[in-house]
Amino acid sequence: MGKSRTEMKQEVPISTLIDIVFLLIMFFVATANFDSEGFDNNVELAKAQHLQKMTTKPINQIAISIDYNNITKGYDIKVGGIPADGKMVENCLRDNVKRMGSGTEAFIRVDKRCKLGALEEVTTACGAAGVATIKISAEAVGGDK
Amino acid sequence: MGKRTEYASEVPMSAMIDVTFLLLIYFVVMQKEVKDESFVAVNQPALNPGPPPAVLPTTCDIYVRPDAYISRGEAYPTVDGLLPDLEHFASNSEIDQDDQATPKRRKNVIVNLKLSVHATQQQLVDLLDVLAKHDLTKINFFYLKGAVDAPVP
Repeated sequence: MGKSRTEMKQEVPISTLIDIVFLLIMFFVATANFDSEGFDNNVELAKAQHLQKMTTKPINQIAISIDYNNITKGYDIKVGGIPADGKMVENCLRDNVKRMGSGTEAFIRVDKRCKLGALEEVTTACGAAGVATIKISAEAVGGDK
Repeated sequence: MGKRTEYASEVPMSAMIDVTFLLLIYFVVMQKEVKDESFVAVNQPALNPGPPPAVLPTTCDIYVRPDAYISRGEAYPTVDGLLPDLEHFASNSEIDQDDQATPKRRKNVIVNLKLSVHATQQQLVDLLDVLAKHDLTKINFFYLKGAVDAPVP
């Protein structure tokens, strides 16, 4: 009975925990895929093996996203992340051609479920605005190019 | 001298941890895999087309319909059926060495894609992928409309 009991002090190491959690937060903030280039990340691209891989984004490139939408007319168009229709796409491209010259490129990202009527609306707008080159995007898988 | 009141200055740890964990959970949930993208450049009709080239290019017309790809009057349910035709076109043209912008592009072969507005983007990309495999990357788009684009009976 006379034996003394050693009491262990049990504490969660808060400062270490916070250090680790902050490191994790910094990692996720740094690697977060923000919509900075006007790319709509909801667009589900079709996969392609042999198309040319995109390495850098040219300065004179305008990103146009066509997202699948089965509620309205079947698709939603966005220019630089902003919702638009064919006429707005044309006006926006026309402004860009004025600013950046005839070398302006339209980088069109179309959801794989969309009908080609959506692509037609955008390419027609590109033609009317005087955009010389259009690029059709796909998700790169494997391949050698 | 007067009595001084002492305030305990402590960082509210439990609140900070709550907020920190909320931030952590948000970023973990919102994290998305970054996917590589590829592309194919398509010619737009020139507003002021110049004189015709000295050597007229060979053209290959492929129809993309919701139910089939059509080349030389034959309908194929998948792009695999087009492979013999594409290999034939590719074998009759050499790589354009002068084209620095697009490496491995065959010269004097132009592929005209006649697209049904009812076909899907998946069908188009499947075809573009096969064309790129054969270095057939001079591509024009045409859209079918009205009676021409009526469903195949």
